[in-house]
Amino acid sequence: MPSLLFAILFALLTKPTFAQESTPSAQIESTQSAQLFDQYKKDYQFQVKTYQDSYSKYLSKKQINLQYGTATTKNDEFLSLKQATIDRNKMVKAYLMAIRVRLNEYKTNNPEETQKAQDNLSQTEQWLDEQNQKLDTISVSSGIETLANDFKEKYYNIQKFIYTALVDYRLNLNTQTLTEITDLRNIIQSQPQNLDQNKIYYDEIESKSQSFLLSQQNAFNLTKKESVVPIKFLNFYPDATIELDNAKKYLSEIFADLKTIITKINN
Amino acid sequence: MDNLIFQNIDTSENNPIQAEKPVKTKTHLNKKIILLISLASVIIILLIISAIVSRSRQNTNQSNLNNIPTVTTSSNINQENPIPTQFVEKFNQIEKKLVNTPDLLPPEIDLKMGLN
Repeated sequence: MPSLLFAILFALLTKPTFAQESTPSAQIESTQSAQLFDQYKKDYQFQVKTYQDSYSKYLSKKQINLQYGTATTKNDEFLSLKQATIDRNKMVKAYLMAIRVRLNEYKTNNPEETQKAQDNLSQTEQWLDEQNQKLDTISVSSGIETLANDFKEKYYNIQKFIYTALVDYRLNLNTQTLTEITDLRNIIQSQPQNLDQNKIYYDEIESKSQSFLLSQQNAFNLTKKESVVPIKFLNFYPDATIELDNAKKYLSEIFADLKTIITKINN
Repeated sequence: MDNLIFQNIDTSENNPIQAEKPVKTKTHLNKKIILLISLASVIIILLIISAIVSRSRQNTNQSNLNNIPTVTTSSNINQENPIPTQFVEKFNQIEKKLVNTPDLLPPEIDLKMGLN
């Protein structure tokens, strides 16, 4: 799989005309996805607030039940727990929807992997809907406890899906940026007034592109790393973020080199 | 007819008794007048010169007032973009992508909720 990603990235680098042709429609899609993401993000933020309210209400009812321990206080605690669990599931679903939609933005840079990440998120959204349907029919606290255990176990996978999606989004964004820089570099390089003294900068760009690809590959590999403990989530996100930041740093340097070249040509 | 030689002719020049020449006051007066006129003309010239100078100074002050620098918006002269126009849009697009967009991180969840 890493070799496949390398092949895709190299293909994008060596075929700038293809990228140029696909740019207008890709840009429209990208803008639409960004707008859709904003909407889903707002919905998620609303769900966060709803969950926080019901969660603090649940904590309050739990405290009252601990203090008085009557049938009424016990029932109040159960109802508030049920509501908080439903709201939590809705919040997580809203979050998953937001990051799933955001993945559409630069999906063309690695459609297969991105689709896989989106499918995982989509399936989890369905699972959360099913959990809420079950919660609606539950009338005893033991039923909620079973569902809480299921959620806890499932959440290790959910975290993996979430962080993979976050890393994939940034991988795609970086690849897209490099493609655009490469397109621009090829156009500038074909200019008649292109100077021989810029060769050193073009060589630098080549070298930094290789370093960029390596950092991208490292970040991608981290998302595929499996945890030794089956039920434990291995948090690869901090390490992947370092690799992604490195990749972005190379992109910034390549971009600066390109600016230097165009400035020299222009003067 | 010989007596005619000593005949007193009633003119100042031909009268031998009155040898004294009449004082020519007219010439003296003329010099004073000329002096006065010349002084007056110098004064007038000085006045004219001073008027011209003061006028020109006034004009200079006015023009200085007009030349007082005023606050203006930044001009493009010093902000010359080294990037050719046909590439500016492309460069801006890439620059936007290089700006850090923070990840939307997952919410904090109490996994113990509902567990006794």
